[in-house]
Amino acid sequence: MENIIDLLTKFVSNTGFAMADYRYVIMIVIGMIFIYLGIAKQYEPLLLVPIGFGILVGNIPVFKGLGLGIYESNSVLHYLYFGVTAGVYPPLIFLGIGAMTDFSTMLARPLLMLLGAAAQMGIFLTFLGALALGFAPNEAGAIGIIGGADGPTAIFLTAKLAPNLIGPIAVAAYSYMALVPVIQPPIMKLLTSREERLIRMEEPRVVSKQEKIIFPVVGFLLCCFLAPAALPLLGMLFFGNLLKEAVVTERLAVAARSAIIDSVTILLGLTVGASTQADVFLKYDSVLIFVLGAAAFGVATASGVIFAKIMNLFLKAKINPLLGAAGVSAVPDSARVVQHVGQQEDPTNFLLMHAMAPNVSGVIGSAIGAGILWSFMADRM
Amino acid sequence: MPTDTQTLKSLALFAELTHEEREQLAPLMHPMKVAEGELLTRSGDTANTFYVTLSGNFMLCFKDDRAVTLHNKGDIMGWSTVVTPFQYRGTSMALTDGEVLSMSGQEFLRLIQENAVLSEKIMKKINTVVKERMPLVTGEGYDEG
Repeated sequence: MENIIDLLTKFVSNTGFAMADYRYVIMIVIGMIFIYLGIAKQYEPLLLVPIGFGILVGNIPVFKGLGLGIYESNSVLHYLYFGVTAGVYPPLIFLGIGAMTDFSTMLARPLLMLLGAAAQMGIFLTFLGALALGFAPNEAGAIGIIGGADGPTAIFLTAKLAPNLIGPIAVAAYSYMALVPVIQPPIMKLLTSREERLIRMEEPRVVSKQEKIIFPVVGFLLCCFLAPAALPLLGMLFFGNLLKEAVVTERLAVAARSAIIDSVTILLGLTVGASTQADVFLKYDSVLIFVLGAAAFGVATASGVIFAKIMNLFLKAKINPLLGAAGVSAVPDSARVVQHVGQQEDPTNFLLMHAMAPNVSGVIGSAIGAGILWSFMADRM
Repeated sequence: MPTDTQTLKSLALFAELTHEEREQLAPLMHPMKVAEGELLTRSGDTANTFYVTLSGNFMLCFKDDRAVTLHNKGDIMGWSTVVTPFQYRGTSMALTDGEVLSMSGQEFLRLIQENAVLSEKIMKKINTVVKERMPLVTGEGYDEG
């Protein structure tokens, strides 16, 4: 009888229920909120559902030493997580993004690229803010990149600069990306007058096939000579775009923008979610990262809008300053937000196509920003 | 199973697109049989799919018993999928057996990224339908006769 009681006691003490504390419960609730937002509200479901389930996976209390947890070197999750820590997954995602993105709106009006660059102010101002709050320079650099509104870039840079912060930074970056339709409109409306929101954009010129094919090669060379550390991200982005535009490599482009990007998104989302183990994630620093991330996003949006207004001081054909908000690289959500905010003032004004120009420039801009931060910080680590 | 370019060409919504644009759009639009009485959208639900009718009769119901019936090939249902706040404004139901083309909001998002010009053309078309239907949604200017 005593043996049976012993066995039962041992069984109970070995369950997750006995090993859990309130921190695991908090994280499991957060994971469920992510899954809810992804499924019910459809906020970035392809990201929030894997990350949310990953949070559940990472927060089942397990024995240390059995090779179960993501931070144990012999666990399956750890092997999958290697793609994050070694920076393998983000470039593969960029390959897929390149293979699906049409840069012709940007090529039609290169001036709008400046808005994509201006929105990267969020990265550098948040970097300074994080430094002021006492984060080490490498950590501040990783936190600042949240302002780029690009999940893979944020994960890539954090893996290089501050691997200990991957969980909170990735979750903050993806949370704010999912909340683009909530965060951006009030800032856009606050910084623009009704007259400005009513500005109509001129029809863009038609971009030739040759231009579209030449762009990924020339763009790659220019960007990577400017910021060589952005090579893994931009190399794959432009290569993917060349596959798309070359037409003769359509099969490869299809693989990159469907099977490859989908598989990597599953692995990235799940492992990043699982990396938010309660004992690693629930720290005061994580709260600060979330606050700084929100500020980064707000500043990035505001910088783009304000820069567009400054450009208008010098332009004959004014641009709608709402387009500046699309300079953050949450593609295509922020372009769609621009379209809707513009349409609230004038239902016949279509800004979507024009907003895609700063939006896709923002992808390149945030990768260049990450490259610059990495090269600056590398020798300080 | 995606649709084909000929089917798209026969619809007013896509008639002005180039052949290349229809080729790009075809894999994203899926034909779907619907049975009499089947609900396609429910007012208040998150809008995740929009539909273009190919055959059959449909009814759209809005608040305060405002309703409209759709009998023509190429009519649109579920346009809230591409318009904020991405919540269906009306309930749509098949009055007879029929067929529709469906496109998910996620696919549309992807189309924006892949071809902004094409997605803007589609949104402009949808916008004309939105303008026509708005009196039904809001009740303002709605003529019951």
